[in-house]
Amino acid sequence: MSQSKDLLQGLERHREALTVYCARLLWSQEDLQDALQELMLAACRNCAQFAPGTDFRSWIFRIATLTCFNFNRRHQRNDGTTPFPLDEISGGIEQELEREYTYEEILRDPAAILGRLEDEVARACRDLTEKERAILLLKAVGSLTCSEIASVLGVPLGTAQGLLTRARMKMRERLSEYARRRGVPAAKESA
Amino acid sequence: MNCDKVRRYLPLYLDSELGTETSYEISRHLESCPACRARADAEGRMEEAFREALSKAPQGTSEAWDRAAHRALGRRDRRSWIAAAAGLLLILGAGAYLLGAGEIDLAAAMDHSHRKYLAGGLAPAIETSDPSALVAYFRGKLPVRTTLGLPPEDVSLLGGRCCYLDRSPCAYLMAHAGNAAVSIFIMDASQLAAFPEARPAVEEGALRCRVGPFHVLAYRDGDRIVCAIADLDPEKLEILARAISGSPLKGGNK
Repeated sequence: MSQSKDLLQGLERHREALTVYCARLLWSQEDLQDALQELMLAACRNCAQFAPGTDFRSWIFRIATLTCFNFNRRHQRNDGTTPFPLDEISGGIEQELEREYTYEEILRDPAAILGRLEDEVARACRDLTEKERAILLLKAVGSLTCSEIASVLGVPLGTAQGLLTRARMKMRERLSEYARRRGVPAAKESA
Repeated sequence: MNCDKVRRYLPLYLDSELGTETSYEISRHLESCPACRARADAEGRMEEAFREALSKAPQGTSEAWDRAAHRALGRRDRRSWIAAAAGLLLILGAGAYLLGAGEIDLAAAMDHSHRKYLAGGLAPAIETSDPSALVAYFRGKLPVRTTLGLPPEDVSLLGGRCCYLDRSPCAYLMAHAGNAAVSIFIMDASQLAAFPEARPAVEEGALRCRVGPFHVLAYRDGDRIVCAIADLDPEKLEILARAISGSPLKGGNK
């Protein structure tokens, strides 16, 4: 009973983070309720494998990640669609410089700019590859360290750090591109 | 280390994911380079803004957890999952009944940082066993009195860094007692208001509880709050916390 008590305390403690994590990692929002249900059942099934006192957060986020990956695969098989990772933003050196300039503008007041780009942040996250998205969310929503993320995904620490860096770069490029198109920094200056 | 290299490492530095040596080199560079310091500050705010945006629950998801728990309970095979059944009921409505020490806000924040330290995700910004060097390091960096004392003979002081418990700035001291890693946090007493669950116990004397394998202690020492967490006997934890923080028990028990 003590183990299940630990499990339930842990689930309760992380319910918000797990809900947000799964909602953002799943390709289809319609799968959220089913995925959370499967997450709870899988946690109960594997309850005996969890050693009290060890890192519950990594353990439960690993189950959540595998559950969402399974749902995403099922989704792909059923309707034939493939979730598209973010297209590499390409262009000449002038575009690169322009993006860098825009990013510098965003860095002047990230909160003000991102407050206006909240939907775009969510869209940019959805356009990452599945593994990049999982890593970014494990860091941002799950507050896991890179070594914990590496253990959740079963990859070497260096790979986890590399993927996190790449995911962040893609997010920034995407937001810079969006801000430049919409003239967000310019709008801020004239405000 | 030059500016280009520092900027390449900044995200990992801000995540406290770098080794002690690289982290120290970057700290040194940031102290002397206003441009990189400004960049580090902006990158930190950018990451925080990302984190906040991504941590907000997407629309229409707030009730998904409860609905999923109801359905999970309905599908349960009672013979094999009898032990967990009571728990799922608790998730549905009475979860707070089971919330133990691990759920107390201050204890949970200490547990989070301590585990991060154990996992290598939080390294000392200054490595020293000299309390006066630590006092000098913290001077002017934190809104808290950081007078310190000497650790007991069987305890090694490893170093320290500035950190946050939840959103409260504090001095973080790392030590070892035998095989156990010890984390000590010192913050200004005004920060106690940020921990409403722990506040009554601390104000009445001390918060003493257990989180997983760790014992937690938090008490008031004049104008500051001293917190300690380790997989140690609670009495030993208190003795070493009071010694290192320079706040011996009244009556001379050092």
